[in-house]
Amino acid sequence: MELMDRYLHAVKGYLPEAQQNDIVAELKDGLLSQIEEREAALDRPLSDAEVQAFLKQSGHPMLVASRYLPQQHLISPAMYPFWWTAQKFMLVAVGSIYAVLAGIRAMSGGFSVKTFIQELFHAVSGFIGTAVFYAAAITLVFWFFERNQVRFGFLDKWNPAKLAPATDKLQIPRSESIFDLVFETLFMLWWVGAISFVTTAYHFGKPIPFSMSAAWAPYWWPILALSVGGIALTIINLLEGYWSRPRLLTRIVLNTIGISIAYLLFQQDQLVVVGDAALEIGKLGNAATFLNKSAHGVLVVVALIMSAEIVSSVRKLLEPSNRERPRAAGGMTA
Amino acid sequence: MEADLFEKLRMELRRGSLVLAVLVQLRSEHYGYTLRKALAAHGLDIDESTLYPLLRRLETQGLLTSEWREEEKRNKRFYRISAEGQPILDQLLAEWRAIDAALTSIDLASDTPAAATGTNNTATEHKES
Repeated sequence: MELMDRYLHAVKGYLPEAQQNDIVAELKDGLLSQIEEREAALDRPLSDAEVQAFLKQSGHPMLVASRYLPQQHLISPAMYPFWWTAQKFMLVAVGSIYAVLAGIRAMSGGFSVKTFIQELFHAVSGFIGTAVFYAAAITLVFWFFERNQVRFGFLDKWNPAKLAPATDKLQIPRSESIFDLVFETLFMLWWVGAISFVTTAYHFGKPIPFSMSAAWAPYWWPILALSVGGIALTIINLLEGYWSRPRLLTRIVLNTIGISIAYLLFQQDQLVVVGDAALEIGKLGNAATFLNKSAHGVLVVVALIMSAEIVSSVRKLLEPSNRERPRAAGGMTA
Repeated sequence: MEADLFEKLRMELRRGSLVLAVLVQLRSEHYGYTLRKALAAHGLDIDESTLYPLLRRLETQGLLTSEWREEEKRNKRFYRISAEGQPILDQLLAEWRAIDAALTSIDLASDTPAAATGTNNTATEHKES
């Protein structure tokens, strides 16, 4: 019975110390009883090979021992959805931070393929390290909840009336289209010079007149075309409040052009011209330098917004219902 | 794939039933091996690797009592349902019979031709007859 002793010794190694002898004694009796039964049926002792086959059939020692352990999981099935939601939030948050930081770094040092690849590598490696750390931290927190049977209060105190309305992701709220239309129209009117907005900044009451530099001139028509395209798209969205594939593709194209223009403008040192080029504004330093840095920052924000719209459009394109969209009666064909 | 799915569902179905069967069988005293044989004799096979941890869990929960005794020249651990376990077993058995009755009723109802063809047809059949 050397094989049996080895098997039981292996099982014992995986059991909690306080229960080892008790469990192994019971297990041994069960196994021996079965072997005796087989031997009685065959009317001869089992060979080593037969005992070996029998023990193998009984299961790996680690598996056998694991069934005696009190908790078989770090996160229970009931807790898993909350754990996974927390992980997803963390991944999106950490990913967004690294993406924004990488974008700012790549642009601020003067764009080149080399710096872009370097920043991408830094961002990806940084993201992986940070995400793994926080994933482990979240798992530890949930493990603590699991061990201590912590109940989430919101699971008992929720109200069906406060749940988010069941909206179709492809639906375009009318309010959103109206807001876009107003904003885009104002922008276009400003761009063609029909209306004028702020041309003077103030620093502690001190006026700083400024205007756009000549760097914008080559992009006047493209930006106007982009603006007109955006307005046309918004008007169609207002008439038929549902994203169709052609309109999503149009939005992706318009935003891609917009990002390209923002990138080209970002390359220009001087985007804003200040009346008095030598004007100093306290801790902020030279007024012209400060306003130009601000303009570059605005371009980065615009590019990020457009990138987010591209991502959102691609996700909507991948929505299964986008292909099965029932056509609204009397709707436009765009 | 289909076989895997069936096996998974079968295991889920068996899990609760095994607890009930073990508690019923342990109205009389058994040690692990004889308990397994007794259950198998009634058509309920259970692995030792499932049975022994289950016995310990039920004992921890206070539903069983156990004691080590020597029998046939070997030490064996004998189990029996506890005083606390008996009323719980009675409730579980009542629950089990209610589920069994409900399931049988549902199964019979869905097996009848009238139910299979829908309520409207049933109504028509009644009118025609």
